[in-house]
Parts: sequence; structure tokens; C-alpha cells
Amino acid sequence: MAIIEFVGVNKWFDKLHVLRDVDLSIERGEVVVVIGPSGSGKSTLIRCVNRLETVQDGQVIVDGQHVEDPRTDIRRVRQEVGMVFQQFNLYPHKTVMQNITMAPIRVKKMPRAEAEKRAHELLERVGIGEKHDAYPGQLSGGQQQRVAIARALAMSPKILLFDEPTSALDPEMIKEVLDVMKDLAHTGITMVVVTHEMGFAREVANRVIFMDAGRIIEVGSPEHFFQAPEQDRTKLFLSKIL
Amino acid sequence: MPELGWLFNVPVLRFLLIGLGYTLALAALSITISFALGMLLALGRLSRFPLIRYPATLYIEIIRSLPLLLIIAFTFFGLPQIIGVQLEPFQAGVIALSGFTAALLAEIIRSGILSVNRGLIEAAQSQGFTGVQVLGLVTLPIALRRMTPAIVSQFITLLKDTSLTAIIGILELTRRGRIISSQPPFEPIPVFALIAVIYFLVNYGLSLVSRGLEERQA
Ligand SMILES: Nc1ncnc2c1ncn2[C@@H]1O[C@H](COP(=O)(O)OP(=O)(O)O)[C@@H](O)[C@H]1O
Ligand SMILES: [Mg+2]
Repeated sequence: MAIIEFVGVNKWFDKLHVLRDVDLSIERGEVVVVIGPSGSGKSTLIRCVNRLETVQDGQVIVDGQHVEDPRTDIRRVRQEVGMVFQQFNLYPHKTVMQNITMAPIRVKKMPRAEAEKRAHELLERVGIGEKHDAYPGQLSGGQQQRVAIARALAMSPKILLFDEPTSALDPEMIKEVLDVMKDLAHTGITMVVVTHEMGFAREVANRVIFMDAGRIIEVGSPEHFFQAPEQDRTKLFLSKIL
Repeated sequence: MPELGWLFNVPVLRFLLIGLGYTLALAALSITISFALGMLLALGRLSRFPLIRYPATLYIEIIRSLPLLLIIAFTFFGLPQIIGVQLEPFQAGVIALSGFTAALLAEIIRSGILSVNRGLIEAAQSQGFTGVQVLGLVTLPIALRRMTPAIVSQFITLLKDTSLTAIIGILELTRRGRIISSQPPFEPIPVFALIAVIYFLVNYGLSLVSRGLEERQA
């Protein structure tokens, strides 16, 4: 069964129709890259998965739970869905260690010692083992984003959502973050990644989704998009970013 | 050099220091109460429930636009008739100072909360924290750190405004200074200079604490 399922989803911001009849099914362990012009609804799409945005019409089913249903305890869904943001959004008043352990300790009631042990492992994994006592403001953008990935992983989520994770980074830091994400892609976790890093898509994506004006226009393998995109809008967009 | 033995002697200084004690007690109690109440009012004004939001807003807007002297006088002379409980001047002073300062702090705290980056709140929500946890672990700590200078400056104002409680008969520092200066040798300048120095030292101490807090957080 699909781990993320959108069925006939529509969303409006007041009169602005930002998601139009979205149907989408993502399998467990899949790595899906979402591309499309600015304002096409990519962020909104993935923010509907953990109900940072609510939908007005249709169903969003995440690991069997109906996210669109107000009676669903969204906190249970959110514990299974990690999110990494363009602007990192690390808690600026907490150390790296506290950023990573806060949710396991407070939400999952994990003992502090265990949470810190895991945090050390995660920091090693994202390549900044020595920075646990630093504050986010003392780190480079690339380091902050890797801490943000570690923070998301600390809850042992089944799904990771990335919203343009490298767009706010200086070019020399993009690779270090993409490398961490590529490693993750091979671990079997489900990933939905909004990005225009087509190199990343080519290497690890199972599927690429092209959105425009709130619609999913074209879905296919990375090769499909590189070699033979069908829709004119897709071709036009790819010609701009490739 | 004029002779100041009439001022710098134990009974007079003791008399003034007791006044400082009242001033500090009024300020310390009112700081504590107004901070708690101001926090509740700020959250109330930001509440999505109109039944909480409107009363909080009304309280803040009304209290903010009244002179503190009027509030102090009303609390001592008027409020007991309404609630049917006689108030000691000191009690009335604390209630008036706290209630007034709370309204001003509420607005400071509210703007601090609104200044917290939406993305940080969303990050916390996305991790599965409850609304109360998001507020207590992320929003409020960040808002309060950012607002520390404005809040401390409000506390300094409060400390100085304790002198207004003289009108309901509290013998705080300023009032005692006036008493001393109206007695022989009738020299107000040295008395008020001394009192000014005392206020300055206390408030400067508060500013230093505030600066220390800011640096620790930087
Ligand atoms: N909170 C919001 N309120 C109103 N309009 C919004 C809001 N968030 C996004 N939008 C609008 O919705 C559309 C889709 O936005 P978004 O999902 O952020 O696009 P993308 O991520 O593809 O750039 C855009 O037109 C954007 O201006
Ligand atoms: Mg976006």
C-alpha cells in the first residue's frame, strides 16, 4: 500500500486555487523529486502531508491516517514525518544537541541519555560530530542544514519531506548537503524532495513530478525527464533549469 | 562645603532606607505579578477565541490609556467599595502598579511573540510538539529574549513609579525625602540629590542585569 496518497486534492488560499485535482501515490521507500516553476504549489503540496496546510477538498492519506480529517491526531502523523526547510529553521536559542534531542525527549519521552547517544550517532552520520555544543548561529548554512536533517532523523520518521533544502546555500555548501541526502536515499526511507538539483534527481530519484499552476503535469523517471519529456510546459521549464 | 551632619546621621538614613525598603518591596512584588499577568494578557490578546481575546484586549487598551496616578487612587479609594474588601495602602499599591504594568508588558510580550519567525514555529509543529510545548519551548523563549531590554526598561519605569503611591499614604523613598526636606534645616537639594543617587544605583543595577542577560543569550 502507498505510504502517501493524495486523492482528488484541491486547495485554495482565499480565492487562489493552489492545488488542482491532485492525485498522487508514493510507495514506501520511494524517493520522489518535485520540480516546477516558483509558485506552482510544490511547497504547498508537501506541507499538506503533515498538515502545515489544510486542504479544502479531497483526501491526504499518510501511512493509513487521514490527514485531511480534523479528527485525526496530527501529532501522531507528524512523529512519522520529518521535515527539512529551505531556511533550516533550527531553534536559535538551543544548542545543536538540544535541537536534535528536544523532540525525542519531549514528544517521544525518550530518556535523555539515549536521545543524546542517538544524536551523537546522527551528527557523525551527517558529518559534524564535533559541533554538538555550538549554537545554530555559529554554524555555516551547510552545517545548519545538516543539523536540521539530523534533527528530523532523530524522531526515526518513516517519511522525510525536503522543501528546497539547498536553495538558501552558497554553492560550495550544496554538495555536502546533497551527499547526506543521497546517503539517506539508499536507506529505504521514503523521501519527497522539492529541488531543482537535477543531478540529485538523476542519481537517486525513483520518480520526478513536474508541477505547474497547482497541477501535476507530468510524472516519470529521471531519464524520462532528461530524454523525452512529453509536455511543452515541462520542456520549457527544463530548458530553463538544465 | 556645607555641613551635612543633619542628613548623614543614623536616624535619618535609617528613615530613608526603610523608604527604600518599601520602594523595593512594591517594585519586586509588582514586577513578579505584572510579568505573570502581562504574559497571560498577551496570550489572551493573541487567542483565537473571542471570549478570551476581547476581554484581554479591552483590559489592555483601557488600562494603557489611564494615568497611573488615577489607577492608584482608584484602587485604594474606589475598588474596596466595589469588591467590599478594605485594602491596605501597600496592597492597593501593589495591585495598581501590577495591573497597570501588566497592560504595558502585555503589549511588549505580544509584539515579541509576533516577531518570532513563522518557520521556527512550523519546524516545531512538524516535529509533533503540542501547541503548549511549541509556545513554551520555542515561541516564548525566543520572544522574551528578544524583548528583554524593553521589559527591563518597563521594570525600571515601574520602580520609579512606586513613588506615586505616596498619594495613598505609603511612606516610600521619595515621600520620606519630602518629609526630611520639610524639616529643619529645610534644605531640599542635598536630600533629593541623595535620593536621586539611590534611585540611580538601583536602576543602573537593573540595567546591568539586563545587559548581562542579553550577553549570555547572544
Ligand atoms: N500562506 C499563503 N497565503 C496565501 N497564498 C499563499 C500562501 N502560501 C503560498 N501561497 C501562494 O500559493 C501559490 C503556491 O505557493 P507554493 O506552494 O509556495 O509554491 P512553490 O513552492 O511551488 O513556489 C503561490 O501563488 C503562493 O503565492
Ligand atoms: Mg516553495
